Amino acid sequence: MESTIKSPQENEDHTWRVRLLKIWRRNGPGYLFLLPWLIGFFGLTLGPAIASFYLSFTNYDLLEPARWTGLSNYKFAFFNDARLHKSLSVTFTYVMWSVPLRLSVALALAMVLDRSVRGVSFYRATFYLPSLLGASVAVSVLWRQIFGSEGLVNYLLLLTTGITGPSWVTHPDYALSTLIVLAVWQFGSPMIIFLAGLRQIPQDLYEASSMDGAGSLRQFYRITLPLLAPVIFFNLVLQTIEAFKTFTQAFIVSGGTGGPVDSTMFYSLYMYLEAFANFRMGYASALAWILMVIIGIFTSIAFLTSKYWVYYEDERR
Amino acid sequence: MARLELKNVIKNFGSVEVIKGVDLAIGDGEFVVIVGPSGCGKSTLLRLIAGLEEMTSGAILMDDERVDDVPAAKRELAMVFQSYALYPHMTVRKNLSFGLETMKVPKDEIESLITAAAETLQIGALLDRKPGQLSGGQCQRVAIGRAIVRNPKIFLFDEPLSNLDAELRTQMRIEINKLHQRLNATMIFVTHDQTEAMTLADRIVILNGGKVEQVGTPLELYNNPDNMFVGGFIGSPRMNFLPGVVLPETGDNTRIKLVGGNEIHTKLSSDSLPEGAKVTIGVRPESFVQVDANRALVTGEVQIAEHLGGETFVYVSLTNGDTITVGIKGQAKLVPGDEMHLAVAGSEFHIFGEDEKVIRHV
Repeated sequence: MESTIKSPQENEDHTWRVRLLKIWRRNGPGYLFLLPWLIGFFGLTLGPAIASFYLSFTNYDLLEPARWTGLSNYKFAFFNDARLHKSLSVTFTYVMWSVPLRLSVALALAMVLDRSVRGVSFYRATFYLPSLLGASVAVSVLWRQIFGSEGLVNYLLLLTTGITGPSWVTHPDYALSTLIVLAVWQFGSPMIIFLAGLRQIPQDLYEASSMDGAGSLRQFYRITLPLLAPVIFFNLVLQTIEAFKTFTQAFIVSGGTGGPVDSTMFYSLYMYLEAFANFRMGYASALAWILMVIIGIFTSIAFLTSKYWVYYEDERR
Repeated sequence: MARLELKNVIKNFGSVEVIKGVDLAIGDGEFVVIVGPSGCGKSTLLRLIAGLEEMTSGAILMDDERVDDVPAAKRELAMVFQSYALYPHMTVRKNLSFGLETMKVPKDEIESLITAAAETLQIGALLDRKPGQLSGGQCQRVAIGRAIVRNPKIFLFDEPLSNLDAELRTQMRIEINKLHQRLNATMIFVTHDQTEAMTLADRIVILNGGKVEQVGTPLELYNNPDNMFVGGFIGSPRMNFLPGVVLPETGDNTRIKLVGGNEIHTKLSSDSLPEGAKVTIGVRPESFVQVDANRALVTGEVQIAEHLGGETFVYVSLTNGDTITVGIKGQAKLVPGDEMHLAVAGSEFHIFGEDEKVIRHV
């Protein structure tokens, strides 16, 4: 007997090797196929995230090695950075307006497109287009033209009412509103999700409620909205996160300045300027983590309150 | 409670004619069952009455007033759906009160109506549950409760029992029957199950291919079917159809020679049949009697004998290859392979012409 000659330690090593080899034989090819994603996740997402967490406690300008400064970046952000506070206010305002407006428009259009109208699939595709283009540079440039002082909006305004409108994108009072309108215009993806959700509501519930004497408004509030709540919740969380991260539109429309007078200084834009214009990588990293916490808080609030307003079909309460 | 009248109701879906001119009058407090095979348009007809579908042409009158243009929400009818269609996000109590709230009934009245309905249907303990927590039978009760509380002019039932198991179905059938007796309300019930139709209805409407085949009480339809379809549809096991040819008359007697069998003699109520005319003789399983070989109308071999205890159904294969069903009271001592000589008891048979319409005889 060979194994009786070996010491117990050697024996254990041997079985471990056999076991590892077995696991590799069984799972190895799977991991090989996963490799591109694993490289992407660890190299481009998790790695930089961990690095940024470290950098958020340092002073780092890309040229010299990072210098540990403890919590000073966070302290500065919380107590001293007036521009950051302005950007927070801009971002919050944007989120508070753009998300409900976008979701309302998306839901309204989804309900219109849910009817069996001729050519409805064409309209569906057409209405989805703005979402594909909305966040792109080209549309932001176009938006800047349309809402400029001599843009289409002012031309129509002059034509219909005789009023000479301001330059919407360069006026501090209107610039943010213009961006909110642009955001509402990107209703496509929540609309498609709403449409799928509406299709899930059994038709006979509408029939039953109309036998119960309910008109379409009552049906909307008592049947559609509550049964769509899980979808509304999903869209709300997704769109809130998206809105907090808004960057492209603000960057293009304001020419990368967040102007006029910081009126479109979105959080992400400010973070970008700190990182790539002022080369304060450490501070920008801290800002990124603060944004993550803010988004986390808002998402948690949504989840915690959801049990009071979201009904799930499979729940048994 | 209300009377309902349909006048030449036609419904097309695109180019397909689903309801082909239905005339029907339903009296106050009557329980009418619309029955027919799948796809005959019975649910569509009910939905037209409910206002959930729009007619292509015709008229629907409720208490002599046209309601064609009145939307479903305003017709003051209640419908029990096949799928129950309970609001899944509302408790049973809310499901029951939804319609009453819509009608702006005062709160305390809603409460007392719900309590009364819950008591009738024994769902008091379920009021604070949601439909997801209920069994099929309980859902059915709630769906009926939702209809009762509104005290509608007419109750509409769209195959409400088809999702229940056999035992529960029988139980609910009895309860619906009791409910009708208690409320004395006009009820229209759609089903494809002729047993449900026979047991529930004051009158049955037999629908086939979008047309009314016959309207009558259950026993009228059973005893005097207007045509082969009704004869075959009502009754279980179904009526046997035996092809035959008319022979020359002897005196008043019409003689019909069965294919693969002997002659049957009868006296027609109206005109005589021409010699050589092809007819079909319809005989219900229980109308066959066993006789001696020399008096037999048909003779065949037992294939299967189903012993149900109180009665026995025997499937007999005839010499011409047809199979007939014979119902025998009690426990018949028959095994596959036995020979059976059969005749018809008295004049308990029906004659159908080539157009499948009945030819009455004495």
